[in-house]
Amino acid sequence: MSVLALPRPAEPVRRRALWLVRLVRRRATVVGLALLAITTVVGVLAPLIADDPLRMEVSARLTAPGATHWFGTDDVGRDVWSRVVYGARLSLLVGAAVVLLAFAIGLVCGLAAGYWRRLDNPVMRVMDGLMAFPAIILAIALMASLGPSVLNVIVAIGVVYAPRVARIVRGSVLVIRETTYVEAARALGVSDLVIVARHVLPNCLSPVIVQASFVFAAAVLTEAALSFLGVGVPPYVPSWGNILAEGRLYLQQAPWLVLYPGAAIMMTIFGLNLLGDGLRDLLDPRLRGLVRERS
Amino acid sequence: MKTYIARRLLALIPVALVVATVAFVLIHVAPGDPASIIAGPDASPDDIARLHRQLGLDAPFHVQLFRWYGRLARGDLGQSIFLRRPVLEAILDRAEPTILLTLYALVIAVVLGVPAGVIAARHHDGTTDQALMAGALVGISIPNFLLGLLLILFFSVRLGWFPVAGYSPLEYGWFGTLRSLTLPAFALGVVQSALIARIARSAMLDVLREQFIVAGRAKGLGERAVVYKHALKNAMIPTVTVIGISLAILISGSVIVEQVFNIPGLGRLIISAVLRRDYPVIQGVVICIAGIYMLVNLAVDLSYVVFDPRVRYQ
Amino acid sequence: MTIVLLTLALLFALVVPAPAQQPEQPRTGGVFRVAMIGEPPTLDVHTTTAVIVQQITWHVYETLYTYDRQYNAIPLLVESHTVTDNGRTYVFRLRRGVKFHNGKELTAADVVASLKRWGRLATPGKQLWKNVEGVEAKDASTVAMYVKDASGALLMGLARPNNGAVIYPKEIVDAAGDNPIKEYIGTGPYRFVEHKPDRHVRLARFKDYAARADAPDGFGGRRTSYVDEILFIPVPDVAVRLAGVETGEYHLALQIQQDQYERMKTMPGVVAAIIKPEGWTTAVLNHKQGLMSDKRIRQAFQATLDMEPIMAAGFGNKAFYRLDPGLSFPEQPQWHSRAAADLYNQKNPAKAKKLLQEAGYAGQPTRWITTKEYQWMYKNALVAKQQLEAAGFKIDLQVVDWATLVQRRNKPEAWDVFSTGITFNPEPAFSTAASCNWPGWWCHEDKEQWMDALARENDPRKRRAMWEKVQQIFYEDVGRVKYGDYFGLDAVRKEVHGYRQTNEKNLWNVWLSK
Repeated sequence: MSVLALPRPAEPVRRRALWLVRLVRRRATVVGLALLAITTVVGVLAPLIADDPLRMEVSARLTAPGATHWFGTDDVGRDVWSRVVYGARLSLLVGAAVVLLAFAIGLVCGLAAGYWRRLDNPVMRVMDGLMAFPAIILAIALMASLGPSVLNVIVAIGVVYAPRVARIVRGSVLVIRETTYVEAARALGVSDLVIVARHVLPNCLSPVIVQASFVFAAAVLTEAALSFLGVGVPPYVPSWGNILAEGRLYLQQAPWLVLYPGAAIMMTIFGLNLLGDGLRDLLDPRLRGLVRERS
Repeated sequence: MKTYIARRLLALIPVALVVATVAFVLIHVAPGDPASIIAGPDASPDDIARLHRQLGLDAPFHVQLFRWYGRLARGDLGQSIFLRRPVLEAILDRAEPTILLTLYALVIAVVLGVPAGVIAARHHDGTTDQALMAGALVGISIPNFLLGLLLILFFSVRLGWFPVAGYSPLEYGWFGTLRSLTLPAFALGVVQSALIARIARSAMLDVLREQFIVAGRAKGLGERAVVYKHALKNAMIPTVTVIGISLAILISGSVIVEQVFNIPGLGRLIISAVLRRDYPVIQGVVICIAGIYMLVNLAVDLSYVVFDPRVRYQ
Repeated sequence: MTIVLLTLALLFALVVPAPAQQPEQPRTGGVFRVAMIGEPPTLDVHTTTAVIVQQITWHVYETLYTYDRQYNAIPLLVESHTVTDNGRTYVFRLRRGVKFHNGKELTAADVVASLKRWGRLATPGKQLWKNVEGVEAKDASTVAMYVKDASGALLMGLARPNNGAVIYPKEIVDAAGDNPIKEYIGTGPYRFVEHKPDRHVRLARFKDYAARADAPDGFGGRRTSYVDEILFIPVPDVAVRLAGVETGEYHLALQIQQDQYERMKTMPGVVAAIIKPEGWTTAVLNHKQGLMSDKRIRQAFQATLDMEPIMAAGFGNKAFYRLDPGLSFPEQPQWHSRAAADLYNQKNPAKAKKLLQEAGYAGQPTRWITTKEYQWMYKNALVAKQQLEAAGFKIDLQVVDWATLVQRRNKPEAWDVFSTGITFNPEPAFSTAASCNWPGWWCHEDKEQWMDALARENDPRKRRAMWEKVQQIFYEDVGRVKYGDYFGLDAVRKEVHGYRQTNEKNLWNVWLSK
């Protein structure tokens, strides 16, 4: 199901400022931004506000949250606060990198498929084929081939979400292609690549930007799920998924091992979803309510 | 209508080809010789050479690819290295818990999600609407495995109402099976119901704004008739789409939830296959699940024939 | 009046204790479900020292001798034996009428074929066979074994359950050769039914089992199969294993985390079974190939480690582990020694750094395989890794499932260190920890001589002195690196009767009530 967007004519400066004001005026979106900001700040400042997440203080294993260990310690005496903080760092890194990768691939494929008729069928069939696998299944299978590492996680999740971006881009491109100014440009003999770069690309960006927040959220979720299952990042890299997997065995004695990383995940994804909803309502008011994306 | 159905079926073929190709390519993406990867790090050079010949890996790439298509068409998914049995057999063995869990979760998701969405739409912008939508937003923000862990913490560990983990097979009785699947099904279903609620609400809102509803109200039809007879039926299209997609999402979600609750289904099968580098099983499970996904999408597309009269006349 | 009578009756009921419970009569029937740590790597006992294989298969196969309550060797498949020629000739008279699961009767030919295979393939078998000149069938039920020197350890070697000298039918031995056996036929009280990987190994009562007449004593004497079937189910998730016993889904769950002990004591219906001692945990170093073949690097490894946090991480509860340098346990006063204790638990990373420098260590990654299926193996490795890296080592920790680890450790080119535990063993002469043939390939000329002498010596005091020498070399040459002793914890349902808390875990003579 493609999501269409009308191309936006160039806006005078005043209306751009209004755009920002309208974004901020929605309380929900502000909350989303705030939550995301917290995660970002924590992740970026990780080395300053946390200790070594790998350091084991075995004599202090399974201590409840308190003054010395704000989130308690795990079963080999690692400080949970530090692990959650570095987990935030990892999630941000993976989320941002996946968005960049998925958009890079998705834009290229979507532009190619939408603009050049002959490429449409082959490219989109490949995209459809990739989307025929549920995201997590394809990610697991890719990780099986590539092996556990942060880079491979980024590649695997990026490849999984690229087709969804491509589909949206293609939809926009199909419409933009038929507009008068593109036709005019073609009639004037402007080369295809220039048309795509100058006229098509900027105008199909707004539905894509809406997706950025959701893809970020999906990437964070998928990475956590992969690490939880043991097929994501290597076990020595602190990831919220890893921490949850290890804390699972101590659910009864040490619930803090699950509650804190769990809260961190929820907070981040909730923030991203709020932000995404806000962006969408703002940029494409007509789209409120149609199917957002397939997970 | 017939052309619509025919076109949908034909569109399936290239997608199926791509799926099969992706599954085939998976093994070749991994660094190293596929035979040594399949044989495992414990195999001797002789074993690897034998497997190389057995798998036909000495043939050129496109020949291997076509042979792969042929095997798939015959339903031959290969042999599992670790389990020493045909992959298809291993999959059928583990299908029961996954299928039951997915269906149970789907029921929960629909029963919770659709009414919530419809009610929210009815009371658009009121407190009920805002509360329900806030709840839905929380719902889609919580990973299903986290919800599973929290459910265990509360309902198994604290209250003891449900088993902590494990699966009671059907042969030991319906009740035990349902009881062992309840927490996992809720973990899956609640998250999905949030998504369904959001979509159902939007679909209802869009329809309620449509001309024929306004006309119906102007005609003096009761609110109930307007909402339930006319609006709902039309809102069903995107809703059914979402339910169809939900089925596919739930299947993949069960992969994760099966780990949390230690249920011996397809999810555990593929995860242990990944950890053991049992590539034939990974390929087989991936193809099966993609196949189910495609069939579900096809069913959803075909269901439009029922729900959307405009489709019939294309 | 009625009120008085009622009150008296009530008081009577409260004060007078209920009649003592009748001692439960063993009940036949039921399916016994055991939750294991994972899949067994094989079902051929001759080929592996993995305890999980013995725990499953010794219900199916039997040895000539077995251990009594005090871990002395007593006859099982043998009726009696005579020792002649200054202890150099053993004549074993087999019991008559012992049937294999395929209906065939046990003969000397089966015993000879099985023993020869065991002597070729099994770690204790190879050790024992150094002393063996030959074994032959004298007639259908008599086997003669000729040894070079009289040995106090021979019968113990034949009695050992782990990697044991079990008797297979000759046809199966001949068909398999040195490859794993394809059919699982033995003489035991349970027969093999099926193995569904990742599901279960199913055993069923063998109706024609020839039980001994004498009373049960340790693992010997009469073995009665009360339960109809035994299912060994791989459950790699320790929380699920324990939860399964709590809900009654499993009757027995092995390898429960020790820090669950306090909680287990409060669970109704569950008995916490402690196996003291179960074994000692260790890092096995590869002497044959790779980094650890250099003695200085091994010494650096040994010098760095601080055992207390390593053991604490693995076992949590202090009541379940202890630091002790002995290769045998304090529970075995005839073998336990503190020789070379100064090299145990050195906690000296500075010394390690110096040794690494001398050896010219340039930061090559040390490949260490471990598993999470035995939780403590993983935790031990994790803490040790941290300590070693602080001393300058670079460690590449590979986490796999136990079955994969057991297969991979047979390849000298695949690893430098692996995690395992050495389980309780009453006879040091066949200790895997001291064996040259076992993965790690710790072969040291003096040590081999002492081990050979140990197998042949009869005098207990001389044997003890020899074992002490071996221990000394174990530390000086860094054969393996011992972390500490640990006690095992199993979860047993209250309905299980007759269960003895041992490492080997026999389920014959065990019945389920209700």
